[in-house]
Amino acid sequence: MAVGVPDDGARWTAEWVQAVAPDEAALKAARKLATPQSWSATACDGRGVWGDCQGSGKHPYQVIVDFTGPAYKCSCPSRKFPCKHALALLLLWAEGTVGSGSPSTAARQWLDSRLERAERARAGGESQPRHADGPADPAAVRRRAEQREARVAAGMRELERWLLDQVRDGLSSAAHAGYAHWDGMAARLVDAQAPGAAGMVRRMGTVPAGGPEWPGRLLETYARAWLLARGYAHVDAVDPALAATLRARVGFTVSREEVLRAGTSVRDRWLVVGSRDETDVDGLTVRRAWLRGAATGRAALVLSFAMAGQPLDGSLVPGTAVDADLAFYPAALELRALVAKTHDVQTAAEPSYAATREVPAEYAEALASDPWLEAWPVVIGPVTPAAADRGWHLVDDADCCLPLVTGEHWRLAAVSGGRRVTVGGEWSPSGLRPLTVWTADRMVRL
Amino acid sequence: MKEWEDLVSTALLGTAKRDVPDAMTMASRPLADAGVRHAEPAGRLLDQAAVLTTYRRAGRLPRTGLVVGEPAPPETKPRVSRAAARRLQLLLDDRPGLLPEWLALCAEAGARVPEELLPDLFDRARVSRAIARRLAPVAGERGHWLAAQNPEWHQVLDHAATTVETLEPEVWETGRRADRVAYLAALRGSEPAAARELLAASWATEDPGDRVEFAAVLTDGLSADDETFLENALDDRRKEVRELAQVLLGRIPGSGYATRMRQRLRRCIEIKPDGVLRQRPRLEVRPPLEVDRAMRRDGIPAKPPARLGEDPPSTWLRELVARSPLSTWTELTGLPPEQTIELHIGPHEDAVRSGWWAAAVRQENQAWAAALVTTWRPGSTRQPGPLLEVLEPDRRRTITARMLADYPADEAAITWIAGCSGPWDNRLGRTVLRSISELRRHRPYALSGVRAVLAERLPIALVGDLEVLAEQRTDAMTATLDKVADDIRFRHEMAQEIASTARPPKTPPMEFT
Repeated sequence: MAVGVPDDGARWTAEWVQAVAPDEAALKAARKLATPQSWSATACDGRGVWGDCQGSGKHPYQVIVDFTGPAYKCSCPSRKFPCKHALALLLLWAEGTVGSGSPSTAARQWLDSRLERAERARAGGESQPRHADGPADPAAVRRRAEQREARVAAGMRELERWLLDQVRDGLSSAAHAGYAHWDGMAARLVDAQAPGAAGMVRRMGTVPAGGPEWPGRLLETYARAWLLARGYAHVDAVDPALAATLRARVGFTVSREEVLRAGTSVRDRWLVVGSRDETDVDGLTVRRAWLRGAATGRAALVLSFAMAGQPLDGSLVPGTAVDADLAFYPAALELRALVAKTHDVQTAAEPSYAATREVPAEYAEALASDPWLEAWPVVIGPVTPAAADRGWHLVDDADCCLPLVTGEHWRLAAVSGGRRVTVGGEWSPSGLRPLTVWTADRMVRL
Repeated sequence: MKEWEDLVSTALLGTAKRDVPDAMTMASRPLADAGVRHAEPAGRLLDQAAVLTTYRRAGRLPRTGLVVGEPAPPETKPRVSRAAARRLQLLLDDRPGLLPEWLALCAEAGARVPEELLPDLFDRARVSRAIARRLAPVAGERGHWLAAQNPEWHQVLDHAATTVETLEPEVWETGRRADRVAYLAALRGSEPAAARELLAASWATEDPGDRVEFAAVLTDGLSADDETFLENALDDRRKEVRELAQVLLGRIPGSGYATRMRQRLRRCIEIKPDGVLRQRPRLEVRPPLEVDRAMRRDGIPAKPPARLGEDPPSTWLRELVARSPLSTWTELTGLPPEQTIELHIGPHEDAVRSGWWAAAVRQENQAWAAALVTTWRPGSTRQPGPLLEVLEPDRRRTITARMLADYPADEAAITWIAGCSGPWDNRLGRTVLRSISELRRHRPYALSGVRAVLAERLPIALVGDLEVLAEQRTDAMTATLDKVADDIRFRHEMAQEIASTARPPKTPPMEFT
């Protein structure tokens, strides 16, 4: 941050706002907008300021500024950063015309997710050598770690109590409660520095709107959170691998150096089964590359991250195989991994595949080690995609049919042409999400 | 799973109101084995739910009994080169305007599109005739196989491919609207009368909002036999249906609608010998004095739209001319269209000319469209585009080139460049470039509006001429023309990639076994 940030608690002056404006025109436009008439639902707290700005369109723009960073978010299409709406909001606030209040749902979600990421980054950076300001005081590092442990433990105990309350009072009251019902608990878990558990709770909020049979699905998510909270209560007593899984699910991160130093290292010819990108509301894209070892049969997941505008790691190309050492993150079910060392360049690979009926069995075994597991990489064949009354399936020669995830799979159908193919993808209880397909003469990404 | 359902219904109500079911077997045994028993009922329910949730997630079994349909027949054409396939994906994502050209080049090369892009292409083709028409020859066996499986794509490839034989008649009774339209269109292609009768039989019970889509099927294969049906549609509750019926009836020579219009028009126009020498006749035009009920039924509005600021008789005259058979005029004057429109008209000239322009478009009359569009002069408020669309491509290009040669530097040259749809031949392309060179000197800013048009329609062979043009001067347009040249080079690469597609191998590719 080039212009520097005022100390916590100190209000920005108009000069500060001027300093963060991308150009003179944006500042001029912002001054025009910095009148209370253009704004509604404005408020601020110690973390940020937010409000709705009535622009020329039908819907007002939702504007949020996070003082740490600082960072800006606005629903307007402007490419200027910060945009005139964010600047105008800051000007209003600098003038003291914005009262304090509790954040809107959107503001809190965004501010929380930024905090979560900051935590992640901090945790990831903890083990990195400190330059410039000298070596960290080991006692201070230990003290901070202990503080966090205590906070997380308290947060997970609160989650346990909260879940008991939900089930005692009945799920039916949740149906009409709206996202705020879960967001409150999720925010407390963020405060408790347990971002993994927070994300689990926040996702619960989408279940009641997700169609019929939501009570069953909601109870499932509660049960899994309960299992995590109860397990975490015994984290010091269980097997270290299970403890590592519990800590990872709760939201502790393990540094790259630690994984390379202590993680299981496996050399194999790793087939890149497929990869999938997901971008969250803040523009952070997560790329999941799924691998299977040709000799060991092991599954692996390599994650990479990029902010909007940054390129993603493209080194693991679906359909190719790479001879490499993978270092696995410590866990009861070793799945997430880092590419520690590449021995040979990637080559197009003929996939070795499992039979359709082996997939659920393999997944059940994985769940036994990590009951919070979602997706699992599989390559199956030879199978033919078919659309049926109850959704798409992959059918093998023995009439064994695996469901594909809800949605249309015309691309896969087009590539197969009603003939047998090999399919790579993510298997989960909601079905197979196909990512890659091999035909007799080529490989196609889906 | 009953055990799970009991848990869910208890959780839904709340353990404060309902006892936690205790006779658990699957869930309680492992808990008992581990010595876990939570002090609170809610905790016991969550413990059991945690066990059962894991069982349920792990226990999904494959189902059986699914029928796999017939596979697609083997292909006879090669798939385009990998580079061409990548470019096609890029066009689908970012430059859909170039899709028709890509598809045409692909057809020329005797190749087919990569299978995985068929779904995206079908979705594009559903909303663009230009794409649908060119997709059919390059979709391959796979394309036809795939289109047959998705009702939304049935009619995409072409009407000829969807024959009545490939469709089940029940579709008309029970199918969704898109399927029913496809069925009706297919039937119309082979048995026009049967299609009309089928539609007439259910017309009264069809949803008023769907009727216009069904009736539009009659546009192809229109004949005098359709008149009775369409005449009835003139009284439909929906304006869109009434307007469609008016247009279609106007295209049936000798229809009651055309005859009524002709008679009304004849009452308003006369041909008189002109001048002392009596060599050149003139048209004498008197607008209708009122609009009666019958005229309103035939689509002539009682009140002109206020925005036009016209007096009602002028509107009535214009609408009457637009809806009357153009042959009314040539029969009256005994002259071909290009001479008829040269005649002196008098005070109502503007309404008559506007009516003719509209009539040529409504009636898709090539001779009149060609005659009228060449009378266009700078400053005219009438746009050449719609008339050019009526013309055959060759005629469209020839006329546009002639007009651009006549008025190269006028701002209105832009309306011709934009109005003449692609593809352009080299001759038209060169005329356009000359016009641009002139415009650049006099009205440089008019050009920025046609950048995309130039990039998509200028023939690839002219990229050298364009580069020379860009280098001639350094001005506001240099960058624009460079950008157009870039775009055309993009198309050039596109053409080369497609042309580099390998010929089919001598031995068929091995099948997956």
